[in-house]
Amino acid sequence: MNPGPRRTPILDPGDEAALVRSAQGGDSAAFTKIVRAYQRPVFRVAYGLTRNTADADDLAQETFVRAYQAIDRFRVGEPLYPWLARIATNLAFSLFRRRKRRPETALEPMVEAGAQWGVDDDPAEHAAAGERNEQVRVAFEKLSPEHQSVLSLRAVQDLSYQEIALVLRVPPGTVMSRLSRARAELKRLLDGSDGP
Amino acid sequence: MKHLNERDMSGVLDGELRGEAMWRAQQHLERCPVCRDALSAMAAQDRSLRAPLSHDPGEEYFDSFADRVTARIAAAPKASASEVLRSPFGVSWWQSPRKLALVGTVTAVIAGAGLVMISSRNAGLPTLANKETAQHLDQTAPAKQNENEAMPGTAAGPGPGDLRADRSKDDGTGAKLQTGASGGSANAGDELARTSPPGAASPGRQQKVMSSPSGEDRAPAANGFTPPPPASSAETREVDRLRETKRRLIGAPAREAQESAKAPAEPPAPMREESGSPAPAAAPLPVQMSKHVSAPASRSAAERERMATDAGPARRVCGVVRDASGRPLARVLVTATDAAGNETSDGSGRFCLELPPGPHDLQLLAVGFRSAQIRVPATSGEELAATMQAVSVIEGGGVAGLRDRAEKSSLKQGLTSTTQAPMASGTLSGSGETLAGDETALKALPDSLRDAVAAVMKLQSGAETLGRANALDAAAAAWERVLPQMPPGRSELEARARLAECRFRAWQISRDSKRAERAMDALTAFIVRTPSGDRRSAVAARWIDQIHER
Repeated sequence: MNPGPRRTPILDPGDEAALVRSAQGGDSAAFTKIVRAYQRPVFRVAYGLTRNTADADDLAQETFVRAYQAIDRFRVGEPLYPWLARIATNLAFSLFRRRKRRPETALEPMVEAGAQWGVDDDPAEHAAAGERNEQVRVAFEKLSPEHQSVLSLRAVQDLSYQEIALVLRVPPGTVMSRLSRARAELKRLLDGSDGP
Repeated sequence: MKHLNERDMSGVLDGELRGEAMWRAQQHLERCPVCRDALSAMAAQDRSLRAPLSHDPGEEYFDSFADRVTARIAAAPKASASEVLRSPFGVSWWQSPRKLALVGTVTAVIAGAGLVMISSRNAGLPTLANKETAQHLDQTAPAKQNENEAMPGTAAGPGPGDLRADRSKDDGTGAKLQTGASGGSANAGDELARTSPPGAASPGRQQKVMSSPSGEDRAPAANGFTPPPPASSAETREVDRLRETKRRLIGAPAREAQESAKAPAEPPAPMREESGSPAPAAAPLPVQMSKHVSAPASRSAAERERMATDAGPARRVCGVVRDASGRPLARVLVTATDAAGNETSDGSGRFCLELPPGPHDLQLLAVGFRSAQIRVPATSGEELAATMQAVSVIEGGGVAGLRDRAEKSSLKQGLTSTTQAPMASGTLSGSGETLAGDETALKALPDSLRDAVAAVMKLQSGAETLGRANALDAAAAAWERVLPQMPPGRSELEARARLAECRFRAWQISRDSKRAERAMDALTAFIVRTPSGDRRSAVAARWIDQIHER
């Protein structure tokens, strides 16, 4: 089958390149536009990896700070989002290493979980969904950072293998292998949590 | 029956499996309920990750985000950032024990290989079981000596030419490389990639890229990964080693051996990208070669031979695929079973293939349908027509449940089930813009999904007629449920467009922050997937601006 449509950046490629050029020339307003355009996707990547609002906030901001400081080395014309996502991922991995433990947990997603669905859902369903979400979260946190990142980028951020390959700097074939192992491992953990 | 492995199933789920692998997987899924269930479970597991791993901090958070970044930039020292970005994982390699160990291992392997190559240069030929052959080799030994004397450059260290000339050395390195290449093990390659610095072109990664039979692992140049030159291929070295042995055994003149030793200066035998086998132009090889050439290589040779016999003016064969009720089917994989080439049907179910002259059989495959076969006559130039019978591949409960919910919900909103659902959703009065438009994409879906989509469209249409925010919320929620089931491509994009429109309309009617967030998210998700030049991305961008202005 043919692959799905190629994901395109939030900004039009021409506009994005112009903004990057301006930012490289020292135009802070242009960089602010870049921040506004990508703040949500970058925050989502950061939250997917840290699952903690405070960490995600810090990481998302730091991502743009690092991007600003390194913007001179960015090759104009290449997609900006994978580059930003890569910075966020690297920072998250550094954070994990510094802490020597997995990300802290947060209550926000549990509170928000039910609200993301339809208004007609009944409270019993919300409660069941909350319980299931908790199981998934616990199992997800037991995965290695590599498996967490690849699963988050695919299942939550909805990036293609090629984009994930750019973010993680691995070949697309490795993305496929890693993703299948991550899914299998998560399934094993979830099956274990459901069992006696 | 051998079930799909997890890697293939994962690839099918993401629509990232290619060519023959996808074809086989689809064929298997069609007849294996166990794998269909496993695929559905995998999709459900992915969906279950979205809620716990997503969180929207709210519009106020993002309103001030850029200002906070600006303040932080002003306070941050510039030097520290460049260090983080220069190293792929944010720290220098010497700060990571794992990377340090890897660098040490690589250095040790290179040094060890160098020592082995140097020390084995003067080693004699191995003892052969066949006395006659051994005697023959003894007689031709001076040729080897001459060869070494004729290459003063090699005294400084082993060069590529030595790899070809020295058989004892090749027995070690060649075998090693062969193992790595023929294994084609994604796991091994992946492990290497995992433990090596992503930015560095580690030997493990190069080996993996080189050995990939499908070429899928070859990352584009933009990634910074470049496949190693063909001269380093284990198979090429094996071929050269055997060629060299043959020359020695038949007492080839020293001059010829010398030329052979200089071979790297000239381009090696061109490699076929898909098989890694030497091109047909290569010199004839001894019978012993056949044992060392991999199975795919011999298969490729057979294919080449068949293609050569089929050579002739190709003809264009076109046709249309429809379902049992006569609706065109998109994304049907059409494969010529007896000739190279396959094609996917477009939105109107149409496909065209270039085929060699003569009759052919075409195999048709699509998710949600039984495979079909049609015969292409030898001479007819008429357009082909094929009909495919629907079969439920997607987990019934989810979609059927959704359909029930959508219908129940539409009744709850005061709509009757007899309401006609227009294929293009309506728009609220006062606005001439809409994101919906590619209705053919929603028509060309499997029956099981098409019914659910029609129910959601009915829900959306009713909600827009009522002009109530909560009805539009319900329609948007229904789109969100159906979205994971949509095949990637136009239909998914269309569903996202309609979801975003529902969210935006709901916000227009009731402008609270929660609806603004949801609309922003849905519009952003739509825009990032919209191909360049799509007029709808401009509309979505305007809508985002409108929400920002409020």
